[in-house]
Amino acid sequence: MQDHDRISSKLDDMKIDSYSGFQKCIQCGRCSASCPAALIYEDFTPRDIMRRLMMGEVENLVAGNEIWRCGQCFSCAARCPRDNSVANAILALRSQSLQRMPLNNEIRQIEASLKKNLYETGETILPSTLLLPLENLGGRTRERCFDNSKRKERLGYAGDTARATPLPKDALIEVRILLEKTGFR
Amino acid sequence: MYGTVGKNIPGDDFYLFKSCQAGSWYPGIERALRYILERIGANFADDPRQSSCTGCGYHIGVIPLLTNVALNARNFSLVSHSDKTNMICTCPTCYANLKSCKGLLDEETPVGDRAIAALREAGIEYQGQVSINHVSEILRERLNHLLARSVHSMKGVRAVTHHGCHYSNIFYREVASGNFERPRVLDDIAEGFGCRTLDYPDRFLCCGVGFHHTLCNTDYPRSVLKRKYSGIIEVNPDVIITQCAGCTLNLDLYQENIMETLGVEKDIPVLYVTELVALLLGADPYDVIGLDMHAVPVEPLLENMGILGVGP
Ligand code: SF4
Ligand code: SF4
Repeated sequence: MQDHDRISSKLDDMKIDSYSGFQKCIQCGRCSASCPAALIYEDFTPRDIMRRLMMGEVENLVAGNEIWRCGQCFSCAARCPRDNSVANAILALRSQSLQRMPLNNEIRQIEASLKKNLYETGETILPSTLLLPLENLGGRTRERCFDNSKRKERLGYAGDTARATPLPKDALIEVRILLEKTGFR
Repeated sequence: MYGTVGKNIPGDDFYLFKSCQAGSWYPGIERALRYILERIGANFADDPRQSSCTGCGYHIGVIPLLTNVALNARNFSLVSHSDKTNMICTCPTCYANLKSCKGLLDEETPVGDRAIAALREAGIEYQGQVSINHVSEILRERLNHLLARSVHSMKGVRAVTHHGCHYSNIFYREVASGNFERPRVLDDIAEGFGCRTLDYPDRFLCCGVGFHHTLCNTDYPRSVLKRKYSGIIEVNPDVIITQCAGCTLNLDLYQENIMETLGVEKDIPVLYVTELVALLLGADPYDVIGLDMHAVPVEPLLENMGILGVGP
């Protein structure tokens, strides 16, 4: 078995094969040069993710923090001369990490909220799950925006909804069946 | 530089694909879109049965690919069974995620086939005769109709544009004007209305939303925004025009704090393209679009365009 076949079977995600293209990476570094995460985090460069994949280091990658550094901007994919996508490789690694590792509490919390949102409303992100840390906002911004849920109501949207008309019950039942059948419950 | 491929952009018969981010944060983005489509006499279906595309959760890594594809197979079937076939997305993550799911379904991949099987178990037959479009492409396509309906202009206004990464960088050969490095979809629309658009350093750079980063690690958005805003400040625009609710949120909500950090005293209103176009077509800034929900005050720009108070 080729190394990259072993890696694909370990990651069980077709996007690692058909979209990430790690086996044809030439380590040119164009992905890293355009990567905002690589500028911020010393322990992260997309080129290195590709190198480690080529070396078969799946276990380390799945267990490590690096794969959570990426912000999924796909600059790496747009810039790669070989049509590779580090962003897609990272998605396959993240998915394995969540299946296998008890790690990463904050990500687990997001997972739990999104499951609840999808099951209860058919929506992914709701205002209550997207709380920005207030201390990082300016004073005037906090003052101007603290009342936005009231303003939403004026526009016909309830405070913690993402749309003016909620999913009808029969549609929600279909969504729930699909969540169950695809193992996301 | 990669070439872009030609694109067929429909001008009518739309299925509004509602975005969780837009609806949660700036419902005016959707209300403005409805206003515009009604104004230019375009047909659209507004179907409450549509579920979230789950793209945000998928990119964080917490929603499995199969779940993502199956829910969107259902969404495509809803569209196929409606009398409209052209999906119109306000969110670039919806746009790219729907395109990518449709590819996996059409190419009969293992994950696509499993999604269709799950759909069948839910009693739904898969149908996917749909086209997937981003709203800014549609507005550009119908620019002449918009101009014919406009009651205000952008003469004398200087703008920078920020195209969402999931519009330009995922299907990077399919940018409707310009290319992924320098998309011009928003520039074309603004210039049509008489605006002057400005180039700026780090135009390619993302807004730093980073999905989970925005929820649990704000070092990331704040570092990226510092760079993004340093470039924007250099050219000193009157407005930042966006095409993504997430980018709008990030650029708008953090702006005050980032400007403080950079030691700059400046407000640059951030407007999503449908909000801007609806204003130019005469929509009420508050009753229709809810512009009072924006963190950076939009009033000075509105006055400048003659929409509030006495114009130039
Ligand atoms: S840009 Fe592409 S080929 Fe170059 S290092 Fe990155 S993934 Fe490899
Ligand atoms: S998608 Fe991730 S790895 Fe790729 S450039 Fe953006 S942050 Fe870097």
